[in-house]
Amino acid sequence: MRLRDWALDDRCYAVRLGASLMGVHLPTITDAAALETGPVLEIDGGCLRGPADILQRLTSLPEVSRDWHLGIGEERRDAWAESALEQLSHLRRAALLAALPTDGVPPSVFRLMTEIEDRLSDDRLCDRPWLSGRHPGVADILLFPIVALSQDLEVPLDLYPAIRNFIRQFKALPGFMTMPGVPECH
Amino acid sequence: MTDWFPLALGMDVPSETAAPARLYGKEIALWRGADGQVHAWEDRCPHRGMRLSFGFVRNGNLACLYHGWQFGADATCRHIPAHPELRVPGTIHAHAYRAEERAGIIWVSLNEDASLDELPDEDAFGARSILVQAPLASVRVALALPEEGWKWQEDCLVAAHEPEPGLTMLHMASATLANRLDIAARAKTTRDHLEALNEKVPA
Repeated sequence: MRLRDWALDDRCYAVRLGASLMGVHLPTITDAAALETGPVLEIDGGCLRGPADILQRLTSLPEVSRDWHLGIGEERRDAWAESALEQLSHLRRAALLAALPTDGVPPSVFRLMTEIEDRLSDDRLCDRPWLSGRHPGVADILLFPIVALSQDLEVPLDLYPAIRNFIRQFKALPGFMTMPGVPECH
Repeated sequence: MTDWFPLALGMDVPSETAAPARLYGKEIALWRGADGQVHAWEDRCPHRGMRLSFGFVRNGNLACLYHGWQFGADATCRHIPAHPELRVPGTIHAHAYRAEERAGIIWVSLNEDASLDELPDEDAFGARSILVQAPLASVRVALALPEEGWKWQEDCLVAAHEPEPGLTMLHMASATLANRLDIAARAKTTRDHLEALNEKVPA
């Protein structure tokens, strides 16, 4: 098993982060193509693409705790979180590769952050500590790079208290790992 | 014009954490010690200008993320890790503002003599701080908010501040713990209504 990885890509980070949190040893090989295609997991003689599918596959490994599986009756949010991560990834690449600085936060970023903030805020009032329910899951792992790397798009986090709360509790998870732009928790 | 500004819900600054806030573009660090006391300081370390809201709270002090200078609840510098033997002069301190927690909301005043009479004195439970992409002036008019910047709407306390021109943070607190979800739903409806209104009538 091996990950075709690009260290600065947010989707690749989601997979490395997930593996670290789940306690999976995941060797990586740097592959510039992953900047465009996202992470690719070489496993069982084949290739698996897309951060949500890769993370789901990791949860099924024998060494991973059952806690990473959703509880019975809990709403699946992996697809929503993956779509949000794709949006952020696209916007972030556009901002980082732009020849000239952009003026202010793009409206599409505000829309994305508002959608995330609404969901996290309602969850908190319903005593649902994680997007995936009582324990963090794949949806939470996919969400973290979005909100943490939103700083690259100069999103002011004072406007999003539920997102700040999510970042803080996520960084305290055992096995949490950083990437450039995502500092450690103190 | 009021001296007190509602900057955040109390529940959004948990014990032993720091959080950023802005008031008309002015950056303010809110933090809470283990004793539950909330503080509001200029969001700038006097050493190298790093934002103190990025810092961490340990042993009742707010420590700067950059070089670890630690500031006590009275805003004076207590410890400089690079000079552990140094008795830090009292002249080295963060710039503190007045902060009060009332009705589930953290209120900050830049005026040292501001009267507490302007603040609500009933109990309430924070429900939602929500971003509205509209200027505070139009939000005030649409919600008929009085000069003090807050009012009770039946069982809900509504307060607002402007982090930067054109953006408003609406803070809503509930008179009862059980009703917080309803109030949070009301906050989203209010935001959508105000933003639609703002698009029709640009400032």
